[in-house]
Amino acid sequence: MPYLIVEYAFDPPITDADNMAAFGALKPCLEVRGIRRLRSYLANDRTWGICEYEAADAESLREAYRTAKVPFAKLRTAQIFEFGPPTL
Amino acid sequence: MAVGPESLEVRLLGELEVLRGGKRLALPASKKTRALLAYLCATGKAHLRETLCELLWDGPDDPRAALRWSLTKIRPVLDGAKATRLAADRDRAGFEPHGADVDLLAVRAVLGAEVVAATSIAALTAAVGRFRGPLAEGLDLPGCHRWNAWLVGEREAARALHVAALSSLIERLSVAQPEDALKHARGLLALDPLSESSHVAVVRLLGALGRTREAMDQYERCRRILDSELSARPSAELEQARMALHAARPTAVPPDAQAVVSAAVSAPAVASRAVAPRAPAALARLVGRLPEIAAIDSLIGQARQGQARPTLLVLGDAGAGKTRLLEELDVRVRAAGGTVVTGRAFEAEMVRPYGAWIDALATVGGIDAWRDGGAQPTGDAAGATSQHRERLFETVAQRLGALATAGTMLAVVLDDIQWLDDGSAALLHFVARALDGKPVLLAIGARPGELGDNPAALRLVRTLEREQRLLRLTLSPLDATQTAELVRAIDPDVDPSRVFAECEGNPLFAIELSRALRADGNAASSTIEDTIGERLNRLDESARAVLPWAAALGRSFDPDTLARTSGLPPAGLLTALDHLERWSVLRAGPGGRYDFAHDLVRRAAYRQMSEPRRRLVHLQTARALFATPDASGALAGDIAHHAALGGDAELAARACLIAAERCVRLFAASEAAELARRGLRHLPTLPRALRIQLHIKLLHAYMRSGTARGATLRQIDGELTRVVIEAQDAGLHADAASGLYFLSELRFEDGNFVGAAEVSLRAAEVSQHADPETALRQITDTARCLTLLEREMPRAQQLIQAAEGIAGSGASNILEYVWASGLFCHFIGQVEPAIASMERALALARRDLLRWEEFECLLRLALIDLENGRAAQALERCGALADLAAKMGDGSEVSVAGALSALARLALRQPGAEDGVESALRALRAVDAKGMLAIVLNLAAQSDLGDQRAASAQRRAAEALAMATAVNRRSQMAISRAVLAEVALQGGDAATAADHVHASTGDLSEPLVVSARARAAVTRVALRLHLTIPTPAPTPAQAEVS
Repeated sequence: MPYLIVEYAFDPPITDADNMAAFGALKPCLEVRGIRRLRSYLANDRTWGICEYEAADAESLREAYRTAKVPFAKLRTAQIFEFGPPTL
Repeated sequence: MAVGPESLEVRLLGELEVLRGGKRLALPASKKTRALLAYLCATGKAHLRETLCELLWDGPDDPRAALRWSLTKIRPVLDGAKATRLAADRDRAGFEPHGADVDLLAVRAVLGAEVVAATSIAALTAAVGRFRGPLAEGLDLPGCHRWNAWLVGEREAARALHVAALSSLIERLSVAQPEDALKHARGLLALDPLSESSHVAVVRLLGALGRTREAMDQYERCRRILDSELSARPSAELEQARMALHAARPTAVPPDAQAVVSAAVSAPAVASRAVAPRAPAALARLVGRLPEIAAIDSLIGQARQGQARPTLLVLGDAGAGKTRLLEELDVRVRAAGGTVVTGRAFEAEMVRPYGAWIDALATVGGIDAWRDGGAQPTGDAAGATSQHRERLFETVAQRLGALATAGTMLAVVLDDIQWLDDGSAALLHFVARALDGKPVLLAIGARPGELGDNPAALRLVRTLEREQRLLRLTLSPLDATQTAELVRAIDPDVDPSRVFAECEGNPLFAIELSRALRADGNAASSTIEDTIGERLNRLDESARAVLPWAAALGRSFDPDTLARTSGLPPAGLLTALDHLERWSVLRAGPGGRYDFAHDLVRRAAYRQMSEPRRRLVHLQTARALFATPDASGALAGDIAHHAALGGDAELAARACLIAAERCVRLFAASEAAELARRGLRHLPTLPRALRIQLHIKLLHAYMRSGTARGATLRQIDGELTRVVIEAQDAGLHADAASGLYFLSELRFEDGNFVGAAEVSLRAAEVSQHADPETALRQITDTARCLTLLEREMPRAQQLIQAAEGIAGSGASNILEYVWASGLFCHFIGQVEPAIASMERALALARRDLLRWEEFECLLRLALIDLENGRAAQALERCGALADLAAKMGDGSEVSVAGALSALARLALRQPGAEDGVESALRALRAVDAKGMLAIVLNLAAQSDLGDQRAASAQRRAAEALAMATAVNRRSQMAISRAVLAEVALQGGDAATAADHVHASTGDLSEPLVVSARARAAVTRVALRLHLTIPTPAPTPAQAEVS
């Protein structure tokens, strides 16, 4: 399964309500395409975020976002890059 | 080590010393600086400066300045003329050995956990010689808590290495060089004068050397220490060692005495730091059970030969010795060179899916699906779940099968299956069948009285029996002679007849009672649990403090979890765990985990808590686990269990939801349903909004478990409808919308296709505060989503019809509805209505400035044109498409527009069109748009066919098939197979052509799985092959109409 990263830029910073609404809209669109969300990060200033996914292809993920009307800045196919065991 | 003028030696095992060229260096006067030096050398890696500051200067002064100063003092000690060993930059500082000899690191290298047994005696002796005292002796720093915590842990670890090395030396030298062994035994005793097993080793070695008087002195010394320090009596082992002194011959060590010596000084025994009530040998003594062992040996023999053999079921009441017999099987399989994986079920976690299997397989690397929280099933149908589950089972069977190859047998042992979860039971049955021809032996243990309470486990046993794949071994009580043998092993002075009269042949009871009688000659408990309880009462305070937390966990645990849940300091906790292990209350298992020696011991410890205390312990456990990072939701089941017992309804309900959703992902259907039901029971006391939200989600989880049928499904339907109405009343529109969406899903699952849309609307309508607009949006959104993906098209059709019913003529102004209608018409081959709808949808999208929607509608129109020979029209649309794509930024739109444009030019036979198609395909591959790639490849392949370019058609169709398969686009899969069939037929290979057609007939026999265009493509080639294409059954909508 390709590993995908979606990057967001929020101006103004995203609120909890907007965040919840976006994920609420996305959820069924992801599910119906068999896309698995792995984890998400939101910067402390709430202007930037990324989500990590597993999907059959990048286009399915783009389509899910477009369908759910959730904007994103970039969407990239990526690979997990291990550079050693976690440090203290 | 060669000593040159520049050689550096750092001695940490004892007082800190640094030697250069063999000469001791003066160390910095500051104790903290020396501590830092020791820390850097012991860890041998770079640390963040903040970490080092927190370690030693966690105060109000300027820690970074203090660290800088200390580093300047350390540098001349560590750095040589040619070697910079103190590596420091702005952020980090660390020690790089560059050939320096650090005793701790050298000892660790020699005495790593797995290698002690394989290390030479000379290397072990050298390693032991490096221990001069406790690690960094004298460098304790009151007030530096982090430093002290680290130091205590490291000292303990170093001490364990020392003990392991000494134990190994004693064991290996005791026969050939008893004098040397004695020296090391005394060293071990010096490390811990209270270790009774060390005293025993010294007594036996002195006896073996004929130094009886010294041995008797040692015995007396030990007895006095036990009496004065611990108020304890000598153990059976010490007494046996004393008695053996009289039989020992001074001139030679007799063979049986050698065995005794070896046994007495085995590593676990000498590692004890507290006086143990019995020699903590790896396994308890096995008395009797000769017929059972013979049966086990026979099964092992059959398994090794790969012969058919049944699953072994060991039945016995609590304490009858099932686990001990299964351990004996483990020992015998390993002795035969086999591999053993073991797991057990726990009463507290009957809804932890595959719990026993996860634990068992963790020792051989685990299974990915379990590690990351399970795969995500894409549908909600029970059929899909069962298909996924089967795949999971196959993965497990393959993993086990791989362990049992090339002449190596495998034993899978699962104990206490009376508490096995449904998924684990099903998996066990699957494995039993799947590994039939392999050298695998399955063995399970169960309490017969409780087996009947677990339908899944009972079903498993009955099925295996019906299939004649089960051998039952029912453990009978021990007789008086066997009981006496067991009692004598505990304490020869205890009266076996009294024990036998009370325990009635139950081995665990006999052991516990013997221990009780040894400690207190008048022990008078009438039940096994009381007897165990009394023994627990005699434990020291630190051990008793740990017990409630360990018992409340309800299963095996690792010390980290226990530290988190109990809040007890790690150092004290480890000591207490060690103590509990020595007293046979706990036993250490694989992976550093602990479990109670027997479930009855756990139960006795649990029952010693008062009801209010139990609640508090469970509550704190739940909250501590909830605070633990757990992305996969693996802890949610445990949290739900503890929160429920701790009385935190909100946490319990939330955790049940997470756990149920995880079970759905793991295809553990009945566990998911059970967790959802449990979650629902916690709702009544919650605040209204939270209750409604969780209620909807829990019902959804229940529904997705796929277990609900008939009346239960209708019950969920009614409950969900009610709660949706309540959500609307409460103004919780988002929750109400989700509920409606789930309700339509549920109707669809129930086969009520019209109801999927209509009844969800009725749910909205029956409410005075209904929000039909929300419901309509949900329906049209879903319809458009399904038609775009060409999934569940009968359901999409019903949703479109339902939307028409609600919106009436207003539907033509709803983009999603018009779009879905256009897509559906295109799918069923109604070209003109499809174009009309898509044109209307395009206008609506432009009106509302919805760019992506505009792009998709335009794209679809261009595609319809291309498919229907209107290349010029398509090219015109592609121009608009390209303009739009250019404005859309980062995405695949530019590549998609380019691809369609290239296809239109190809159809118009424009120069360079073929190169344009190849270039467009490369662009689509680069943006990873597999669905569109399949469409474009198929259109290009069909064009190739028309131009007699079979090789190109075949290459493109094959790639299209792979792409379409990856994203599950059934129509494109059928079209690519039709092209491949045509190519085969053109090449005269009718058989291959027929194979390609047959591969699509499954999809073609179902209504609305593939598009009309795909059906036509397959039918065309099938006719040429004189093959019949099945006619699909009418769709639900067609059936309703008729």
